[in-house]
Amino acid sequence: MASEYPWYDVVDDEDLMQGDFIMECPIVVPPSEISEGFEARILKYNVVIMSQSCDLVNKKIDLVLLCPVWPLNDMEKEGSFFQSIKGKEELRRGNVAGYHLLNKCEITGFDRDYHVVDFRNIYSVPLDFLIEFAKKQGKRLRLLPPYRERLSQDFARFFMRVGLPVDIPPFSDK
Amino acid sequence: MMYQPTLEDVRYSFDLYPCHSPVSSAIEEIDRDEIFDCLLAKPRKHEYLKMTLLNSFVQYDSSSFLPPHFEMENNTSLIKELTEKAISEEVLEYDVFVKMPPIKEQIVRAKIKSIEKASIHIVEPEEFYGE
Repeated sequence: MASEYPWYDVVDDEDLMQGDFIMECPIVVPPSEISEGFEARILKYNVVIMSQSCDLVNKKIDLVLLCPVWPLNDMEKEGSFFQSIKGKEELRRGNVAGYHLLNKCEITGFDRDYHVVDFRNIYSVPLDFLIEFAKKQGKRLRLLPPYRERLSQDFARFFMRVGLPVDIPPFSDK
Repeated sequence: MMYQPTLEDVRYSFDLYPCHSPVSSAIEEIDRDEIFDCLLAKPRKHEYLKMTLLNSFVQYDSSSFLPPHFEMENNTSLIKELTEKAISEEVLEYDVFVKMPPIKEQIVRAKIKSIEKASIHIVEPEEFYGE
């Protein structure tokens, strides 16, 4: 069953798709005041493409939405919640808002442990830039369906959540 | 040394010393085995409920050398209150934030190539009904 629905594939085609992983994608952070010869910070992240594949292929967008992807082990070092089995299990079940767990990858050359997509931090880069940048990288990892659609669904769910100031009171036995 | 009752003791005493049945039918409807299963249940989230139930329903005189006599208290409302509290406290979604640094960071000096106002890029809906 697991082999019928692999999580990942390795591709090198020019068409970018939702779920493609881009390594060390540069994100330019401009200063608050831009003057001649200004200094800018460049931050590099491993990211996953969140923009819809149809928009990318048909070039309906100028900017591609990207979310950073972190090894779960690294997140454990930065936050205590993910150190516990309970925290990891809640993450796996999709109960931790803003984070989405990805399975291990066992493809030779692209082996990696569990990773977490961070929905709270979103970046955008020009589509033309990303196409050229991905081409230079050569082969890249791609998240396959239905795990890709699950990622997209969780992304949407994170942004459409609504907190109610006064909710309906819970039901109880009378 | 204070007598520490085990689950077997509690169950045994119930069998040998029939206690006064609680007036409330709600308690009689609760299967004793279910209560004990709850007490022995592994999930930690019910730990508070387990201990509170145990302390609420079972009272014993530990100073006596005789086998302890256990009595059920009439605590129908307490079961309901504790169950509701346990359900309402169950977390459905966790709001956790972990700040991660970038993989690499560098400072560059940039020369302005052009500054212009962005132009709109309209994507018209595709026509589903061919003309």
